[in-house]
Amino acid sequence: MEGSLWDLIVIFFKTGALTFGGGYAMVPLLSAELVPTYVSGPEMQTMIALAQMTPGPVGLNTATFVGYQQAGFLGAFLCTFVLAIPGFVASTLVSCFKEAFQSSKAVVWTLSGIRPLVVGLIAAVVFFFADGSILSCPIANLWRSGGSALEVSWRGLLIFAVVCVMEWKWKPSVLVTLSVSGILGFLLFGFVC
Amino acid sequence: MSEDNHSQGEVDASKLSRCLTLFRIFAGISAVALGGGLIMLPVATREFVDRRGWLTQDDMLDTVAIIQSLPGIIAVNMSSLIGFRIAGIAGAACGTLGVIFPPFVVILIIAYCLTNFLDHPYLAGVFLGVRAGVCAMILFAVIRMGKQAIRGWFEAVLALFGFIGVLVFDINAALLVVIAGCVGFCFQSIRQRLVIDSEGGKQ
Repeated sequence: MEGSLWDLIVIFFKTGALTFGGGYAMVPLLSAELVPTYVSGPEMQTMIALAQMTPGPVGLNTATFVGYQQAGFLGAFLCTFVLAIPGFVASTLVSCFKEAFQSSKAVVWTLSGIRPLVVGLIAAVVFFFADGSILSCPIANLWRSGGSALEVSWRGLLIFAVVCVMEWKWKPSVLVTLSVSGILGFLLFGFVC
Repeated sequence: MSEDNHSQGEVDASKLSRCLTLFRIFAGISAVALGGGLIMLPVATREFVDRRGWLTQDDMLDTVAIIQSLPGIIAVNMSSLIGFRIAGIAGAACGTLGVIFPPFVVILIIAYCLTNFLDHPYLAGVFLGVRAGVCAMILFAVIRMGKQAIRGWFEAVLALFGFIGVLVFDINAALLVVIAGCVGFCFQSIRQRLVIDSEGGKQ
């Protein structure tokens, strides 16, 4: 257990150091490392969804969840803390050398590559969340089987469509959106045959 | 001499009180903030610029600009930058602890309760629905981000590279970030050198 807790800490530190763009940008990095060795895909998705519904930053909340699940209170504390450290250190350093940082071309150049990449990474996360809730086949397998293994859950698709309409027309708060999704999920998956 | 000690004591007390206030305010913001880290911005402005005058509006704008270029959690970066401005490293630490503390407690409680209920048949349906909902939310977030970030072929190629790399080839996302950083750096520096060369040639 000691060994894997250390590995977890390294994972969260790495993620904290390489995430640019907040919130969702952290998901691809975390999922790549945690799934399927530490948590299953569906578990990860659920934790991230819960991390969004609760107060506080998504990344920190996810770290607390995963850390707790893997190694109790100590795990939760260490993973959360370690995730915050790179940003804290970077912010403090930058505060000391503000002018140098703001006029640095190297920073702008490096970020010019990372920002668009992150858009692509998060687009992939859409499929990560679809896996299991809307689609019944991991995406990687799709390519190999030529689409024949694809199964679409009409219930998941319906909820997806409803949220799309909500986002498009009303842009409600995260809490509203996820509450509606949860209620619909309860009704559709819980009762409808 | 005693006057110096006295004023030093005042300074220390003032710094301590600022640190405590930083902790309190950021904890308060974090406890109710649902959504991205930048949501904290209006409240932070109200508390630190309007109410106390510890920062100027320009300071806040600076902060927002810098945050976009820093790694990690936006809320943590915000509390660190603002905290540092107000009370040095101690301020940064107190602000950040404030951001971390309330959600940490809440999630611990939830995680503790949920571990017993994760397999409950009714909850399973709820979670499936939530996952499908999050899928849609992220789709819209990507579209918004894409409109801002993808301005030309260079960005489009990188986005595609990330998308396919993760989805089809299962490449580690962290590795992709490092590669993209290097690519961006090299590309821009080459491009700048070409511009300089062409301008030099014209002369």
